[in-house]
Amino acid sequence: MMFVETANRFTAKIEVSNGALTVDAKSIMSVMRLAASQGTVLKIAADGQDAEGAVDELSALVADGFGEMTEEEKQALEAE
Amino acid sequence: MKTKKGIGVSAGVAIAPAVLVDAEEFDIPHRTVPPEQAEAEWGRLKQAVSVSKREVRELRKQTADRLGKETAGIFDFHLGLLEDKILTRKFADTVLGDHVTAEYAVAAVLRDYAKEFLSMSPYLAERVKDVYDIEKRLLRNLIGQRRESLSHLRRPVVVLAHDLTPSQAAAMDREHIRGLALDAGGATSHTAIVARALGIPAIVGLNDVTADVAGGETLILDGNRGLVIIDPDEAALREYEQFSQQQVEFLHSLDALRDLPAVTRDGHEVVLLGNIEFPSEAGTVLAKGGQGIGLYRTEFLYLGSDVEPTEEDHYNAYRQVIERVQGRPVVIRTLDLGADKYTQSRARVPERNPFLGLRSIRFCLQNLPMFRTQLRAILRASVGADVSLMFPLITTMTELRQAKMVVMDVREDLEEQGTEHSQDVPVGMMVETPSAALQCGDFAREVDFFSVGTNDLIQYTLAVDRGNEKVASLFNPVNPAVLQLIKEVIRSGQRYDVSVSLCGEMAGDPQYALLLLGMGLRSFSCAPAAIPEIKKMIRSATMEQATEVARRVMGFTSETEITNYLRAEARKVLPEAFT
Repeated sequence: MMFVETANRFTAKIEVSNGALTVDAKSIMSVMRLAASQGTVLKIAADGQDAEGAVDELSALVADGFGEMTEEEKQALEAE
Repeated sequence: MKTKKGIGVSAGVAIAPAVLVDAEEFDIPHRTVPPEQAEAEWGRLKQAVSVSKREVRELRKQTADRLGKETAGIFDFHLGLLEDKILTRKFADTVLGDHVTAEYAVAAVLRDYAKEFLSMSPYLAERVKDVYDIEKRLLRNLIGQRRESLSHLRRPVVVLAHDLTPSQAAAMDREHIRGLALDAGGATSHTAIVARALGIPAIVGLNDVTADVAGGETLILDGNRGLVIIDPDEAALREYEQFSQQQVEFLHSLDALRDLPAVTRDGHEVVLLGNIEFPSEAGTVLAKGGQGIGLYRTEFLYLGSDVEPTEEDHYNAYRQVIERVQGRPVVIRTLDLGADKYTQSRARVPERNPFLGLRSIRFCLQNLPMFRTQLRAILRASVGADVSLMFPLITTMTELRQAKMVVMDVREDLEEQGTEHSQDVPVGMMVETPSAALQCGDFAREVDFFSVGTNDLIQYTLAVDRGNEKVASLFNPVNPAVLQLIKEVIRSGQRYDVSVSLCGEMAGDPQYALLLLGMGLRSFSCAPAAIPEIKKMIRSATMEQATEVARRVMGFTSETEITNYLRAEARKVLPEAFT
């Protein structure tokens, strides 16, 4: 649950979406509901002072954590 | 049909379905609460979350030390759940929005999540186990927190548990709880005392009764013989139904004694008082024919709540008792805490031997602000009432003098502040340590009255932990050494004209009434439910009989002989009570 822990280090409001469902990235329960397994395309959005840093770090974490992702999938991670 | 034997600690027979209290699987009913109580439920839930967090952190630390950081990682997830803001908000919405109990909100919210996760992905199945684990932890903390689980029953039941905390036992709903059976405990554990106060049959020291019962089975509880019969056959049911009918008839016959004095057949008067824990019981004492309150235990002011009671909390409780007894005497015992959860959970280092540790008056003398708060309230509440105050567990003269100094000091403060208070509250002490009993001649010159607390006196004289079922059978009020000490106190009281009462469990057992009477005791204080039977016993005997019984008993050398002899004598005097 590194993802949620990391999200909680930022003050920005952070949301993560799998396309069908958008949830609060700081809640373990909510992130679990995304059932994000390999190959899922996640979209991370943040709003607040440290929003940019949050999205960068979380994207890197996901990319790294799912080290087997293709370049394509990595590109699908985008910040708003 | 299966029969288990334990220690019968509260007489009577109960036949009812079993309810298991502290099983691991919780069956949580959907229960709504009045809107104004929702806030309190939410408070309980927050408290349970915070206790659970502390437990999980501790577990994580222990696991890390023992098995390494990797393994301890599983608790990070548990902690994450407990700190999850969305989850917390859902709990709050459910409790505050739907007005349900904290237990129900925890179960409903977490089970919904679990269901969703299970339907989504096999990867989450492991996580679902963690969710259930957290649910269990929260429920355990909620149910352990207090009493509710036992106070909202809808049908008559017999309650089975490994053990109950005093506050759980105290909060029992007497309308629906017909009996109590515990794995743990001895005859004078707090649970046993409460069961007797409520007048429900109880059996303790059953070791593993909770393992033999799943809940829902019919049970027969025979508090007189200490038997639990699980799934009784027709014959047993018939026998006990008949017996229980006779008991009810006998108890009804005692109601007629309510307004009659406790006087022997040859005209010797005895004072019969009641022991209480809660103000509401004061009315019960009078209804049972008691002449006042011989022991008002004030610990429950502390055990029932998380915060220390204020002077006003004390004052209000005492005034309630005083108003209920309508001018009759009330003996308020100062705080007798210790050797239990309250002080142990607050102690920085748990005591190795708490029963010989910082408990009772010792605890008060080391926590003076708390002690003074209680004393102020007692002196203020006593205005215009017949109130005495009594110190528990006095062991040495220095302690008694210190405690009396604090009273004087508090009185001076009240005077200076011009606060209304009583000028002449008699001060007495419990005699419940061998040292106090042996030195009672000296103590008699410094107190207004004695009250013999047999529960502790027996425990300290015989070196038996009264709550430990492994040695509880050694705990016996009629051990000759114990009787000698009691005799000594009664004799000193007579010599120095200091009144002596006996307020331990021994006072409420009709088997011992003749003996105590014969030893010279003229004041008994017992559980309200026991008053009618003791009165009946006193009214059925003559002082001559009692004196003879005491004389014979003093000649025996073992508790077995004495017990057998007393049972036979009591049966002669009052056959109905000893079937």
